[in-house]
Amino acid sequence: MRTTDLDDALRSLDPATSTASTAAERSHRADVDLHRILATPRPQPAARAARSRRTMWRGGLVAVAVSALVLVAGGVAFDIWRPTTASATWTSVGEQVAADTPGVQQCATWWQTQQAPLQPVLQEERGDTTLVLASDGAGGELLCTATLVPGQEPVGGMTSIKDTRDSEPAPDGAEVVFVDTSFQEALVQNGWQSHGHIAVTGHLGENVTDLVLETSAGPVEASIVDGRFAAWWPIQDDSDPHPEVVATLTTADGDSRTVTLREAD
Amino acid sequence: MSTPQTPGDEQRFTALFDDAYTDVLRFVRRRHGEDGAEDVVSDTFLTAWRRLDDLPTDHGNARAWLFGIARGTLANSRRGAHRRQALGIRLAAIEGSSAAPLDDSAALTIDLARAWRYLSATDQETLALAVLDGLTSAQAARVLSTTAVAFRLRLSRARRRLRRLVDEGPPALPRLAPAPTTDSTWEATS
Repeated sequence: MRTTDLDDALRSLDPATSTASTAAERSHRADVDLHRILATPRPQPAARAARSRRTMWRGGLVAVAVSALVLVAGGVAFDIWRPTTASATWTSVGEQVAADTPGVQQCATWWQTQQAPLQPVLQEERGDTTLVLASDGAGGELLCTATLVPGQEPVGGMTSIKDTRDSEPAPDGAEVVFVDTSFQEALVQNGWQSHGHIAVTGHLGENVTDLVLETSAGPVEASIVDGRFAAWWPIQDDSDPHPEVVATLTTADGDSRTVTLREAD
Repeated sequence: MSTPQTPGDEQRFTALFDDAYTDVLRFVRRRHGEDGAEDVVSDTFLTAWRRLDDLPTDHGNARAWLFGIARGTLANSRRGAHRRQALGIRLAAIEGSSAAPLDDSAALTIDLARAWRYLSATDQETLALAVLDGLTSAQAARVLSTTAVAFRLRLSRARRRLRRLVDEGPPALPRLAPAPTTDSTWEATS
């Protein structure tokens, strides 16, 4: 089946064109609305500019206050974060990659300092950054991100956390292992630069086929492999180190519902 | 604090209103239905008027900008704080129930209408933006506050899922496109 055939069939089912002529309906109601709107005062330009400046100033204040924060959640953490361009190439939809891709291998290389080998469970790429969810072989889980840019040293981080769940999620449910924020700033020639991200991992019920997270970066599709999910997205500040994340679950029967995901205290 | 609008602002906004009113009304009807659609469109243009300084100069981008405002207006009216929730699209009902054999095109339309109900709201919205609203990837990305690359990926996946549903048929138990419900999931961690 060609895409054009599908699109043509879809257009034939467009509910907007099956209604009464919108051009004709444009007349009276729209004219009334237009006159009412034009009579409505608009915000003064100066007020808009002032609001914008406050926002920028707050962002700078947060960046200075948090300094170089490195994730430590449970067992092991490596302080290998440095300023990156990961945010510039980030995509809201991850692409699952093989275990032998360079980003995954980079995470394995970083992990070689530990006794147990890295056992990848899920690996995905968003732009230049590879995220790896793995088992540490000792009852813990690892979340690694590696940003590889040609001509530059690999940059990334790794966090270890103990999964203490004592039950599986409901068939149409989700359970979070990890919701955490990494934020870093550095003083460079032109002033302070800051960047950060939030990463989420967890388990999904067997009937869940899609998980879309509502984030400050827009809708983010989580990568899903064998009942595990993971995603990350760039952030501008780290007002909450363990934020709640609202997400939409879709199950195999087409049902969808909104859930709130949060890492427990 | 407010300022009197200039004749230039009024002319610019009136031109935008005249040019895009019908498109915005169609956009809203696809997601909201008939009842109250004009109220949503009115709120959309009122917001656009207040934000006129942000109006893109490019015609296509201006249309996408309006659609983004309309989407936010719709989402606000539905779920309060959940403003980024995907908006499901209901297709038109297929009329007629003739027992005569269907040609390929008619059969595809029926299969598509059935399959559509099994797509997620996100996939529905993605396809609607590209096919029904006629936006480019960059323009649709503006509506969804995402990137063009991300939108193209999402569109590719939505097409693949729809094609699979059309080819293989929906799951065994028929179900109308559901309205999302809200609950909470909590999970312990160390």
